[in-house]
Amino acid sequence: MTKESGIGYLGSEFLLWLFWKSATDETMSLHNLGLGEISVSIEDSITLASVGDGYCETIQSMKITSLPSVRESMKSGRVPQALKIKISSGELDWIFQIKAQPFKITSVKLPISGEKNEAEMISARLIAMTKLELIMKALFNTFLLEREMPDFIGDIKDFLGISD
Amino acid sequence: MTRLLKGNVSFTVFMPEKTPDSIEKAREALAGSAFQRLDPTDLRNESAGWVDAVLCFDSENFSSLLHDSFFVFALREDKYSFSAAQLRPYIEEAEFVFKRENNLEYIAAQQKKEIKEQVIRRMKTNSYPKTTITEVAWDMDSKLIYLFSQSGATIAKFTDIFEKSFEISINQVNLFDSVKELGGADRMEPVFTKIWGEK
Repeated sequence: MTKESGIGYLGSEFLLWLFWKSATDETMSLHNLGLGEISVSIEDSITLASVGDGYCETIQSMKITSLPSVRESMKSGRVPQALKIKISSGELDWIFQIKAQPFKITSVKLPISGEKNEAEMISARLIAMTKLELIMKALFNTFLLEREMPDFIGDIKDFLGISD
Repeated sequence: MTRLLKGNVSFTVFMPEKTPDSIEKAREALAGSAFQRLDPTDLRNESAGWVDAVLCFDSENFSSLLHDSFFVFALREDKYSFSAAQLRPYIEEAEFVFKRENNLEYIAAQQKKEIKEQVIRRMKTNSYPKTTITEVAWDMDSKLIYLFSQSGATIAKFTDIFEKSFEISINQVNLFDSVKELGGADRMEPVFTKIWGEK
């Protein structure tokens, strides 16, 4: 995982950051973008990979973020390659897969909000999709800013239980 | 409109250099590359073009084009495709009959090719092409285009037909674009090496 390989490493870093935010039950305020309070939770699956030897494991559990084996695996140097994630904003929930390399969001389950006819349904889905696009961009930008903070490395290390 | 109505989607986002001046202009552009149905006697084995997103057999009216601030339409691709295993019994049978009727021991390569083409034509008249419908939503507010597919082949076909129809070039949008907007990747270092040491 070197700089020569471009910025592909940001995918895994972003997934680790999402895992961290999910584990700490933090809500994020995106009011300045008109998106309100956002919460992130990891659903039932995470894929972790060793950077060097290509070892890869997928762990499935209803309580991924509190599972000691996941934290131990990360502590030993495995980084997230794929997550199933839920983003909540108000009454709306989006559930989808997010992969680190190539960085990709797939199988997005758009929120259902009680639309009555086909036209209403299409409009609601399109609005939900564009909102997700904005939320993900805002989350990624927040991550990019946070990773430049002096405490960022220390906080991640504390979270994973890695001593200096 | 299967994918959006089901509410389960994967999509690729594009930013165009501009948007059409009006819905009439968009309709004209779509009509210019509208889907043309394949005929079994047609020499073409595939056809691709625009259809209405809700009525995917309609490539003339595009009556469901406008949804709020979105232009919604679909790319339809029809393709006749037969695998070697599918063709084999029919080709062997046709060659057998040809040899018997013409009292031949061997069939020349050119003749074999013609027999194969005849078999394919016969199979085309007895089957439907494989159809793929991929919806597209173009947000006139943000300008962003959402293609409801992440298949490389579909993205390439869509980009080609879209740019020809609208005479507008498009670029794929990625979350990583923010890195450039926020100051570039040159000064960035991976944090993993600082967490776990050099890997």
